Amino acid sequence: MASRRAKVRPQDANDTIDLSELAAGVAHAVLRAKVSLDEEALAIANQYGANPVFSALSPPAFVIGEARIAVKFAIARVESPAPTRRGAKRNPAKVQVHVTATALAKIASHLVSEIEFRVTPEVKRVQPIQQDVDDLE
Amino acid sequence: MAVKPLLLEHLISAPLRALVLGQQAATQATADVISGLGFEAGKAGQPATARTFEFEYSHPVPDPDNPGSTIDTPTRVRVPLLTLLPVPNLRISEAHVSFGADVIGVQTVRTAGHVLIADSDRASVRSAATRLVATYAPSTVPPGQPAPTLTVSIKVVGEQPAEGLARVLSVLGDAITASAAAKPFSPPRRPR
Repeated sequence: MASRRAKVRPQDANDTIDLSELAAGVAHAVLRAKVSLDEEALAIANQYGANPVFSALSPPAFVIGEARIAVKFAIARVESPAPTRRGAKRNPAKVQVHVTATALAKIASHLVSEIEFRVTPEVKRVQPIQQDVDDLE
Repeated sequence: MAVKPLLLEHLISAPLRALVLGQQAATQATADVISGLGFEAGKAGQPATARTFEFEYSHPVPDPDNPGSTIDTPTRVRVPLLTLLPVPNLRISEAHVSFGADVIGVQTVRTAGHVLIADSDRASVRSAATRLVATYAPSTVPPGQPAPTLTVSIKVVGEQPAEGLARVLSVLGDAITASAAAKPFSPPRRPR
């Protein structure tokens, strides 16, 4: 997990955000909310364990079944990258979008789109790579 | 109504944490019933004792001297009170959280430390995290007013509870005892 510096950099003056960063930001917000939920549940579970009556009861625990987050946005600009030796596919275009309510209020409604993120928990088990398996054999 | 801008993660986590606290309050009510109604506080250094309900009744026992007939034997029964009364145990099994919000800004937080290297192309994951700053907004707005720019809908499911309470009641159920009454029991006389 990357360590974070408590340093917040303001967004650029154009008030736009890369669409991929928007997706990452939404996923990050849901993940952090889940972590916060678990922290609260863990703190209460510790209190339950210390109490003789509560220890017989179930501490509250919740899981997020599904989170749907719909965000309105308007495309501000599309930046086409300079072609590279590997071709344009290696360096896709960047889509900058407006997402703030202030910015969207100034944009004609037919230019405002919406993207919905559906975030669901998925447990991934670590699979040994084939070479490790061969070494074991 | 002035609403303080918050990070999106805080907007989402606030109702989720409220669920945890709500479940804790429900569990507190259950614990209050268990400890207040089901147990008596012990003396100093002594454990609490289960409150019991005692009663006597006439238990018919086969008469060994007179096959086919029974003898009404006075019997005293002691039953833990908790096994007789329903214990209120409410659980939030599922919740649907929906709200609207207006994005008012975007913050980019620089991260230090790890930068993931994906493959031979050495494409690195960006070492910056974008956070949305938003305020709660009414989900339904009057005509002419702008709808919230962001809507959140979350389905939250409560995890299955442990069997602690069921085991406590089971142990208390096993403690139900029946013994011969100390005083001779006089069954009601039958009219001749």
